[in-house]
Amino acid sequence: MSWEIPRTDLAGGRLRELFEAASERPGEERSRFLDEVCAHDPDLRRALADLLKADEEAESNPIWKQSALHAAALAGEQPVPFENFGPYRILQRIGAGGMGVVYLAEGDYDGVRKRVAIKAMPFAFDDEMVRRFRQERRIVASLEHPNIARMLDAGTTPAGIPYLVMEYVDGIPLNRYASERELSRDARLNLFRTICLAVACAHRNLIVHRDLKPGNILITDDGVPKLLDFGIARLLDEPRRDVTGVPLMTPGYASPEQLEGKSVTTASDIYSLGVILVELLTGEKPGGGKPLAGDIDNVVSMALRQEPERRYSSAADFAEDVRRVIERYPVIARHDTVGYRLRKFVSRRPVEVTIMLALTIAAIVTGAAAFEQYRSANRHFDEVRAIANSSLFDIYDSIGDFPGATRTRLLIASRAQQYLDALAHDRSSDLALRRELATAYLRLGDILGRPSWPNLGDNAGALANYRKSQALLEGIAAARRNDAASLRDLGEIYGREGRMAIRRNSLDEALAADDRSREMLERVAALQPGSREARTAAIDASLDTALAHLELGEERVDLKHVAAGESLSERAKSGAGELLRQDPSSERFGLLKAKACEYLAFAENVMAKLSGSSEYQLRAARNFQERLDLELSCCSRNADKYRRTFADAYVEASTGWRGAGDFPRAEVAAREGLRRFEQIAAADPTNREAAFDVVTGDLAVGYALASRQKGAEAMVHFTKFLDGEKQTPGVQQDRATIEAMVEVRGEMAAFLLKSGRKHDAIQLYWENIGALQGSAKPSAMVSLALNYELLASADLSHAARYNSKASELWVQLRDSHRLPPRYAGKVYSSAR
Amino acid sequence: MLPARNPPYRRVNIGRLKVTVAASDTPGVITQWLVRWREGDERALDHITALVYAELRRLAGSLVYGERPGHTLQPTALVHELYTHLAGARGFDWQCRGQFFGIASRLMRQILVDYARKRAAHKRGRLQLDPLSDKALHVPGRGADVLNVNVALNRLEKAHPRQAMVVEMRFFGGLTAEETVEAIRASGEEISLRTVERDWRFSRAWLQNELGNSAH
Repeated sequence: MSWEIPRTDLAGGRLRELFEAASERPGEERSRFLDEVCAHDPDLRRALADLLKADEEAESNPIWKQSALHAAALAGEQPVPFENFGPYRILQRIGAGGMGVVYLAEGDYDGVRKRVAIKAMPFAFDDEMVRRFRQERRIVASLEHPNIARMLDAGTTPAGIPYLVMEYVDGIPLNRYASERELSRDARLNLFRTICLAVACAHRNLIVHRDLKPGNILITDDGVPKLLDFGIARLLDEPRRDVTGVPLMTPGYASPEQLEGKSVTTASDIYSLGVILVELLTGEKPGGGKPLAGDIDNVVSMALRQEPERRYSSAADFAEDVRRVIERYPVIARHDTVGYRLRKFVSRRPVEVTIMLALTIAAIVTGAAAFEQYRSANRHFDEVRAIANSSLFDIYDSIGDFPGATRTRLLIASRAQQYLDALAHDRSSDLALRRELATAYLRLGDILGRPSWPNLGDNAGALANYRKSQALLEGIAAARRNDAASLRDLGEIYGREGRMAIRRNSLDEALAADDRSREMLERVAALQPGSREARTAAIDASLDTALAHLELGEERVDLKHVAAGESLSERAKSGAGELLRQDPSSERFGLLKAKACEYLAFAENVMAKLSGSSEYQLRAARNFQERLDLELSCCSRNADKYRRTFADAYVEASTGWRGAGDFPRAEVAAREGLRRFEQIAAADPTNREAAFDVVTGDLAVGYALASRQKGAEAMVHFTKFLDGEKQTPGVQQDRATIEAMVEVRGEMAAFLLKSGRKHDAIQLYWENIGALQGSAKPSAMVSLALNYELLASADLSHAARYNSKASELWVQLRDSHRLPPRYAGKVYSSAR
Repeated sequence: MLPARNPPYRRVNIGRLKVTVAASDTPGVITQWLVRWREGDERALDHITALVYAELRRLAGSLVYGERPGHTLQPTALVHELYTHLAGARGFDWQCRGQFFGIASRLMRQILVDYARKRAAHKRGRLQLDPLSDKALHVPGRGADVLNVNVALNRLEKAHPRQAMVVEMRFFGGLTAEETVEAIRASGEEISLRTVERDWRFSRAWLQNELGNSAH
């Protein structure tokens, strides 16, 4: 092809006119016509000739006689190959639905052969959906009920076709069964009631069907109903490209909110159930004209209400009313407005709201409904408590890292806490209930501001909740001296308070809290000698305590604290190593040992910084590297979960290797760490911790580049770090952050000096001096002295004055016994 | 004493009005949205698209896989089937019908292109071509499959937008020339049957020429 724009585009409308005129003329006349109109334009003539030739070809090309659909169908005439794969042997095709073809197959389950139905869905998925599908099938697969066909497996065949494996149900669709067996009204109602109860079970498990219809309900020979495709519509419902996605649904059974493209809740299933009931009883869908007699009409009307919140609040309630109809009891006429506000919350979200969120909302709605009924004394105390706990534990835990996950957790925990609070008020003497409440507070605190976890950055709120939890637990621990569970939770909370105190830079408080945490958890470990769990927690707490010692040691230039931290970490490393030896494939123990390595490296790093010993630097680098290796090898199975840990390990390994002088290695590690942090932050923009992490990554990359003499590039990352820190409220008071910023500005100044920008460099030294001045912390004083010296060497005209400022500080440090060994020479040199 | 009977109904918001429709009256819903769209409510198109897309995709899937034994593939089968399904016995007014055909054609194009892409990816994945299906697609000038037509159509659109629209409706939507006239008129543009026929012939030649070129 020799041209970019086809010649047929020349002259646009004119070309078309000429083509039309020419095409209507027969052979001879046509070429005369062309000669005439294209006399001075050979290009146009050629373009027209091409088009006219193509016109003839098109005439004989069958594709233009059919339609695209036809062409596609021809291409697909050979059914997409679906052969035996994995443990499955395909027996026969048993049907086809909108989304694909269903095969009867035999699965080999550890030698047991079982008939299954495999749904192959070549048309339904793209790669992204397959990925998501795999993540979520676990939830659907957990649904176990005698009237629900189980989902057994899912994935893609070796040929790349997505499939679902379901329990094979040998039965006939609901309506056909009812009419073939000529079931009585009550028999139909009973059958329906069983179906309702199955749906209720799924709803309790937070699975909404979304496409309930008689064809999805098979009745076996023994008259047992089985619901098919539970949770599948949910998995397939994916808005694609520029098309507003709408849940898969069958018009006629779909609820008004589904038809209007709004969010789908359990109430949508209830609507579909209502339609199914009408059709089961009258043979026609609602509005078909056949009247329903008596109470059943009220029941149906309630299920079919336009507003989801005015329908039955649960499928179980629907079933209950159906039972009342069968037994000729008056039906419940309730006007509940339960959960309206929450539904509003859902409807404000776009349709593509994450599946998990929808699930969560369903849970909350269920919870709210139950709670509402508890208030009106319609529900049992225990039932509401169970719901609150199930959202608090199961659902809360099952929420992965999806965008907005943190907010969703907050919603769940605060709801649960609210319910439990009210329940605890009713039964204040119930110890177990108070424990549950303590857990709710703990989790709320975690969401608001658990250090080093995704959180909402509300530290004060977090601390307040931790304290509430702590007060409850201490009461319980006082009542039951050796209640390991309460001691353990207390230990955990003290640990978190310790982390938060470190963030506030209250190191003494941190050390105190961590020491208490360690004490509690070591008591638990002693109470439960065989428990690796307890051992692990105690080791964890010693590591936190070690960290507090190290921070203190660094800040106060106190080698005693550094040494205490080093020995605690060393002990923890061997303790964790022992656990890992007993169970070498354990992720948990691998991580624990990795953490001990990290802290040990940190201790050695501080040692190196204070003593200037290169031996310590090399040891630190090796321990950082050991941490990274341990984590990568132990956590490979759950790489997704440990994204942050890995990123962090890379960044620290970079620090280690830079200290030990292996700069290329440092750069690779730092870049890898930064890249990973950036990915995490992009996935959940509400997570403040992640934004903080990214900046740390920039810092590491900046240093690595600076040490490789790539100053200009390093400046970019350093600037990002400084800007990022300035935008993070609260950290400016943090000692480690201030020092990091001071060091970065020092590095930047050094580069500026080298590139002849003395003035800018001096500016940065002054910024550092401004940040450090007035601090009585020895580490800050050391830094201040060094900055004065650097300023002196940059600004020679005032060198004498700056040098004397520095020497004053060195003397002050020496006199308070806080002069780091590596600067011991300073005092003599300045005294002279 | 039996309580008074309440027929199942649904209330649908149409602007400030509340309209009562029978619970299973899907066509009612789509008509309302079509009217709203005509009256300038842009969001209405999203709703219609959503309603039609899901259904169309489902129908397309079952047809393309030949999963409906005995179902003859008429060129206009799909959009028509959906039309009958949604419009019911009473049908839409002519304007709604035209709008509907236009939207459905556009969606059909998207669905079939998606499908063809997936199929192409599937073939690549298996590293071998299915000789039979290649034969089925064999046409003079080669490369005249859905994907290639789509690419060429994108180019046609730039120089000759109306002609491209005609192809979209006739080739992808499977509409007849008369229905194409209806659909274009519903979008507010006056057009004659003769023009649609001439546009179709021109576009066909233009695309055939393009496809022939790209095959070399």
